[in-house]
Amino acid sequence: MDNPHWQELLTTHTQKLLHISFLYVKDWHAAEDIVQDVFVKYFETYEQFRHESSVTTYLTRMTINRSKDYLKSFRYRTQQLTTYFTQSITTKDSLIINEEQNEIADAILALPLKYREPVILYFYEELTFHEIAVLLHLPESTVHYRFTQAKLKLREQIPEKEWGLLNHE
Amino acid sequence: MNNIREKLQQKMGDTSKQEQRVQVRVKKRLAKKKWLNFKWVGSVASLAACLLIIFFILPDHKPQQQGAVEIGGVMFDEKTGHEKAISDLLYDEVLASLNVTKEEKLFYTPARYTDYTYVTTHCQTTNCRILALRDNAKTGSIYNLGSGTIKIEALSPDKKMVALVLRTKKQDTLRFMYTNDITDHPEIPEYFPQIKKVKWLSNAKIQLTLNSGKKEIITIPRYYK
Repeated sequence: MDNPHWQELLTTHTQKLLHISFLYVKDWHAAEDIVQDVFVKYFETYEQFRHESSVTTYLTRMTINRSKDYLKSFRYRTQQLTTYFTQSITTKDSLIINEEQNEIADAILALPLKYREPVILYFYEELTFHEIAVLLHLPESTVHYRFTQAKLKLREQIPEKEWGLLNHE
Repeated sequence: MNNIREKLQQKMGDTSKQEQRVQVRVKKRLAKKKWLNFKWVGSVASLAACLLIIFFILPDHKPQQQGAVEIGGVMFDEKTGHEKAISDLLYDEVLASLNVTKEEKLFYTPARYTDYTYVTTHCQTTNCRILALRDNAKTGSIYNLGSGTIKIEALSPDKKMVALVLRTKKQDTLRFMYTNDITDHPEIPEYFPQIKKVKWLSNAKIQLTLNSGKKEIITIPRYYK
C-alpha cells in the first residue's frame, strides 16, 4: 500500500467499522469480509469520492449498507439454517456462555434489525436522531419511532434493575 | 462512554485480531489488484509493441531480409508524390539512360498492363527521356523508350503484349512490350502524325486511327507466341 493516507484510514477506522458491522450481522467472519470489501471499494474509487460527506460518514454508510445486504443474502440464510440445526447440540454450552455475558447486550443483539439499528447508532455510535436519520436516509420521526419501539421491546426482556440504562437519552 | 456502549463493547470483547486480519487482507487484495492491473497494462503494451513491429518495422526490414538489397535512389509518383525506391543495382543505369545526374528528381507512372514503371524527369527540354523499369530488387530490366510522353496503352487480345504510343511535339512513335518476362521487344521504326486510337485487330496486327481520321494497319513482328 503506497498511499500513506490509506494506511492511516485503515488504522483509524477498522475497529469502528468492524464493530458496527458485527452489531448488524452478529458474525465476526461476515463482519471482517464486509469491512474488507468496504475498504477495497473505497480505495479503488478513491479518486471519484466527491467529498459530499466526511470519509468517516461515507465509510460508515457503506458498512451499514453492506451489512444489510449481507443479512438479505443467501450466505446469511444458509448460515442461519445451519445454526438452527446445530443449536440443540450446543445448547448447554450456550447457556454457560450466556451466563457469563451481559443480558442487555444480548437483548439488543436479539432485536429485529430495524429496531436494533437506531439503538446501535444512538448508543454505540453516539449519534443524534438527526444524524441517524441523515445516515440511514430516513425521516427523523421514523428513527425516533423505531428507537421508542426498540426500548419497549428491550424492557420486556431486560431485568428491572437495568432499565435505567435505557434512559440515557 | 454510556453504559450500553460499554455493555456492547464488553460483549464484543477484544477485537484486535479481527482488525489485524482485516488490515492484512485489505493490503493483500489491493496489492493483488495492482499486480493484475500491471499485468493487464503489460499485456496491452506488449500487444501494441508487437503490432508496431509487424506494421512498421518489419516491412522496412523485409527487403534486407530477402537479400540485403541496397537502395540506390528514389523516384516519386507523378500523380500522388508517393516515394518509391530504385535498387542500387539499377539506379546508375536508370540515370545513364535518362541522361541525368543524381541531383535530378525522378518521376514514375505505373504501367497499366505490366509490372513495369515508366520513369522520366521533369527536364527543361521539350521531350524528356523516358524508360520502362522493372525493379525486383535482385533482378530487373530497363527498356529505353526514347523521348516523349506515353499517351496510349493498348493490350493485345492474348494479353501478352502492350502497344504504347509515345508522343513528342512533332510526332508519335509506337513501342511494344511483352507483359511477361520477355525483353526482346518488337520495334516499328516509323513515325506517325498524332495517333488518336490504337485497336488490336489480332495478336500481330493493330489498327491506328490518326487525328486526321486516316487509318493505318501495322503488322507487328512477334518474336514469341
